[in-house]
Amino acid sequence: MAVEWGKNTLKKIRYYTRIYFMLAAQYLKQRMQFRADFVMEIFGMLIVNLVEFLTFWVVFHSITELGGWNFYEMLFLYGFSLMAMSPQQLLLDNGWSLSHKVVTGDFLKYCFRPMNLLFYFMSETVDVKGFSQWFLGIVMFVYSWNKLGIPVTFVNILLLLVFMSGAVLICMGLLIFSCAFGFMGGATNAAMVLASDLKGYSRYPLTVFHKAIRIIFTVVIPVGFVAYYPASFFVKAKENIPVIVYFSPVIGMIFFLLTCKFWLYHARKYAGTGS
Amino acid sequence: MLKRYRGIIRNCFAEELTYREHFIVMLLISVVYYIVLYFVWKAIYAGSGSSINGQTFADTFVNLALTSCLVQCLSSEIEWNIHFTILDGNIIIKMVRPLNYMMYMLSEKIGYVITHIITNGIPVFLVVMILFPGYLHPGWNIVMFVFCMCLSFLMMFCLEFMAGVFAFYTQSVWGISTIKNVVVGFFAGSNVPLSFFPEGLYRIAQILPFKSMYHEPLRMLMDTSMDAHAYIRVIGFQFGWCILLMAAAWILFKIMSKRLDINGG
Repeated sequence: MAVEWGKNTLKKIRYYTRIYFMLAAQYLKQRMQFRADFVMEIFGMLIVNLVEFLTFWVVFHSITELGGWNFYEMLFLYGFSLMAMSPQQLLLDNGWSLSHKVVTGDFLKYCFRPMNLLFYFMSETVDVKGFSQWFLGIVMFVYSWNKLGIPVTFVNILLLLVFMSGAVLICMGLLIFSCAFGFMGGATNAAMVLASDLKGYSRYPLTVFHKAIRIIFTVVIPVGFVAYYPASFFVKAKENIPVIVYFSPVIGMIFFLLTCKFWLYHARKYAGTGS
Repeated sequence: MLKRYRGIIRNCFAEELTYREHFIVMLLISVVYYIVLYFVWKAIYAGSGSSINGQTFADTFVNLALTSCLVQCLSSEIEWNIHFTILDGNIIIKMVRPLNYMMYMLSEKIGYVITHIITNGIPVFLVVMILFPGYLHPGWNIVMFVFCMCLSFLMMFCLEFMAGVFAFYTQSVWGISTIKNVVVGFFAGSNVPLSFFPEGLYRIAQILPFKSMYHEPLRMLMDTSMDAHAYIRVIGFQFGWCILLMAAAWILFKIMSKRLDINGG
């Protein structure tokens, strides 16, 4: 029984991986057709993040700390959140086109494929500009890690990976959750804009906010797990972090799976536009 | 002639208000934004005494809130409208109509911006006036403010139109549109007040048009010590940039329309 189940799962994984790479290659070919656009997007992503960094730098020109965090600690937090947001940018960017496709009826074509609807819809695009975001995040993260003199030990690296996987899953979950509102009609990405704004706010330490907002960002919308709690583990020597943070991959996984179910539930109710 | 454009304006005005969900979530986004802005700057000031660069917390908060509100009001991202019509080929329908294409787009933007002013601009200004009394001094300077904002509106239109027309060449608008948004936001002083800028950056901000588009008109409402000379300088600077941008937009449109490929339709 167990062997049978294992075999099937393996087969499924192989099938989906193969399809993913086929679709990705197709998409990249299609994008390379318009090379100017391709370059513009990567350049645009770099500029956005550089200007945001400049904002940061200008503020710290006049002050020395924000909510008890100094410049390098803030940079650490910022780098961590950029890295956590990159996989979602890279893999799930097609979510932004959902509401448009639902209204025009183009979404119907996805419903006739013999595979997971969410997987097929999302793997249609590989958003290359996610790489430039990732790259910037890594640069900031490594630089500030170095400046803060955090020891590079096996335990630290392992915990970094644990926290990062939780953060990545939460980011992906938030995107899928907000994307599902596209099925409710209204031709709007507003929920997605809200979710991405909230993720953006993860680069401020939670200590900045009022207690009520801190609780919301921990329990209701787990934005705190995206960067604040993991970063404070490293730079603030474990102070003020609830024990639950160590289980962030589990929380992330549950959150991610629930949001997938939520998305698929609404996708199944989609009836097309009749055209 | 103008009657046709009035129809377009009315359509776009109605379009923005059609979906109630969209409207409510957009409202929520602004509210969350102002709350975060408040707490972040409160924390910045908590660590550094009552005044930074000669500005108190209330000065900074009012300044940032109103500047980003003005930026929000004037931006309607019509480059995305152009982008979508290029992708599905419908742009040809807009171009062969007996209307000037640039005026067509301008009318669409007027419709959107009127909605933003009613739903976003006026409420934010009223709330700031109630919560932070003594910062705004409405009087005859409102006339000058509105006049300057009209110029800013035209300048913003030119920038968006250029970004959209640029897509005739690249077929997509995300990159250029995003660059435009962050650069305008930063140099208009909606992320950090301009008084925080270090010397070099401040000089760049002074040459670029964005400071005169948002910061200076706002100063007309807040700063009673501005004399006629200062008014003339601001308006002259803005006027010069406005004409420059309109010329640039028109020339770019003429060049790019030769390169435009129509996708089916």
